[in-house]
Amino acid sequence: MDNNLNNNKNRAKKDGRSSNPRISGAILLAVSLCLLVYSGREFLKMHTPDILYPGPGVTGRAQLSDYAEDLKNSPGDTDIYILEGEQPGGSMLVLGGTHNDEISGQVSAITLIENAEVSRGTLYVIPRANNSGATYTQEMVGNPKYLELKTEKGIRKIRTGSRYANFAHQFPDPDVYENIGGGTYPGPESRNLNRVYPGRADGLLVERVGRAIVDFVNAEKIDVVLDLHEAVPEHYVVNCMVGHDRAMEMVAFALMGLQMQGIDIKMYQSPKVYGFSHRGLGDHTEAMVVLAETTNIIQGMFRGKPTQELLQDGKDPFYDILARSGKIFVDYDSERGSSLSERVGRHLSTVMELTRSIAYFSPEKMIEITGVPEVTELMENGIERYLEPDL
Amino acid sequence: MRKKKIEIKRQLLLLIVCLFLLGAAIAHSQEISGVKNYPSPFLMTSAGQSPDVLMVKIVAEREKLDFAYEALAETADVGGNKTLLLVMGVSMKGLGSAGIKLDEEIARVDRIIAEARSNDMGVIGMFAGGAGGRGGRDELTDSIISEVAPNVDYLVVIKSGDKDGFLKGIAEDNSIPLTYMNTIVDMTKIVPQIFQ
Repeated sequence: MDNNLNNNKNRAKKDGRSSNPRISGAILLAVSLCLLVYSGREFLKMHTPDILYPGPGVTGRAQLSDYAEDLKNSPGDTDIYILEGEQPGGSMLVLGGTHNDEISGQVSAITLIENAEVSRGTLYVIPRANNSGATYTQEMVGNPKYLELKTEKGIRKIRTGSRYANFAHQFPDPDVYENIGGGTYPGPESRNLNRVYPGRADGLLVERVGRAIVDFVNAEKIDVVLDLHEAVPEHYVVNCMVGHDRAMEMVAFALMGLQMQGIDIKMYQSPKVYGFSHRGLGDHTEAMVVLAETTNIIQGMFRGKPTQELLQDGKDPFYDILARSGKIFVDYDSERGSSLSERVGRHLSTVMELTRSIAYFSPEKMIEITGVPEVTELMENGIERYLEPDL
Repeated sequence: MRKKKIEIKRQLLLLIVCLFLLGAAIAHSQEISGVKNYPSPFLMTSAGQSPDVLMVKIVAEREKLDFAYEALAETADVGGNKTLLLVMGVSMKGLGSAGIKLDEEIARVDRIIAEARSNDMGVIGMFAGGAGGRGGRDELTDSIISEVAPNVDYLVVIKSGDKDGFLKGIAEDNSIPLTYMNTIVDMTKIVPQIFQ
C-alpha cells in the first residue's frame, strides 16, 4: 500500500503535478461550493415573479389575500387582474396556472391580461392560481424552467412551474390526503389546487388558496368560472370541456361554436368527486364552472427529450407510434404537432364561445370582450405576436 | 344615347335583383339530401347519459321545434309524442350523476323503445359524439350503440365519429337508412329538416 502511494507521488512529481491531497481537496471543495451557489441562485431565480404587461383593458388589480387575509405575504397569495366594462353585464373568472406546467393555461390568461378589452360586464383573470407552484419545476422530469418566446422585439420569458405547490411552502405531505369532501388521494395531491376544492379556511396552504378562490367568487358574485388546463394525449380527459351540472347547456352551446370553428373538442359532465374545480367550486358558489383541457405533449409519459422546442411546438415522433396504434385520445401527427399557439388559441376561443353562450342563454349577463385572438388568428400569427418582450 | 345608358342600367339592376333572388332560393333549398321526415311532437332523451344530447336540444330550441326533453325519460313520458329521438353516447360521469349503472340505462332505453313501438311511433338514433382520437366513441358507447342502433328506424351520425364504419355496418345489416352529418353545422340543418 505504502509502496503504491510512494509510486504515485513519484509519478506525480515526474509529471510536475502537486501531490498535496489537502490542496486537491480544497480545490474540489471550492469548485463544489461554486457549483452549489450557482445552482442555488439559478433555482431561487424562479421565486422572482414574472413581469406582466397589462394592456389598456385592465381597469384594476386585487390580491387573493383581499378575500382571505391569512394568505397575505404567504406564497399562496396571487394577483387578480380586473377588466371591467363601462356597461353592466355578467362576470367571468379565468384561472390560469392551477397547474403551472400546463403552460397554455397561464399563457392564455396572460394573453387576456395584455390584449383583452371589455365593454360590457367584467372579466377577472388570475394568471397563477397556484402561485407557489410557479417557484420550481417538477423534480426528476427535466422540463425547461422557462418558456422562452421569441417575439419580434425580443425574448419573453414565462416560468413553467409545476403541477404542485412548492414542497418548501407546504411541508410535510401527509401519507394520504383527504379533502373536505372526503375525496382521498396520495399525499402530494394535498399540494394540487385541483384536488382541494372547496378548500378549508383553516387547512393547509393550498386548501386555503382553494377556499379563498371560493370566497372570491362568492364575494364578487361571479357568473362563470373557466379553469384552464392541459392534459397528456394518453388520458381521455383531453381536448375537452368538463362542466358543472348547472353549466352543461352553456358548455354544449360553446362546444357547438368551437366545433364550427373547426376545433375538435368533447364535453363531459363533472363527476360528483370533491376536489376538482368543476365540482367543489361549482357546488359552493352560484357560478357555472367549466374546466378546459388542451393537448400538451411535453407532459406525456412517452415523449422524447423535454426541450424548449417540444414545449412550444409539441412535435414528438414517439407519439406518432402511439397515434398509429390507437393508444391516444387525440388526432396527432408529429409533422403538425400540438403547438402552444394552437393550444392557447383553443383556450381563448373557449373563453369567447362561453361569452357567446352566456349572451344566448342570459342576455342580461352578457360579457362583451374584444381584442382576443382566437384559434385561427393564433395559428396564423403565432402567440409571440400578442405578448410583449421582457424589458 | 342617354336613353340607351338608362336602359343598360335598368337591365343591370334587373340582373342583380335576379341573381340575388336566385342566390336566396339556392340558400333556402340547401337541404341535405336523403334526410327522412318524422312527425312532431317528439321526445328527446339520451341513451347513455352523454351530454351530447344537449347540443341537439339547443338546436331544437333555437328552431322552435315541438319537442319534450327528459334526460331519464321513462315509459310514462313517451305518450303524446309521435317520434322518439335517442341521442346515443355513454358518459360514466353522466351515469354517475344520474345515479344509475350502464345496464340499468340500457334497460331504460329498451323500455322506452318498446313503449314507442306499441304507440306506433318512429324511433331515430343519433350519434353526435366528437371526433377526438377514437372517433368520439369508446367501448362503452359502442356497447350501447350495439344495443340501440339495430332497433331504430333511422340513424343520423356525425361522420367523424364513424371512421371505422361501425354504425354504417349496423345500418346496412339491419336495412336502416343512415344520414351522415359532415360537421356539427349539418346538425343545425338536419334536425329541423327531419321534423319540418
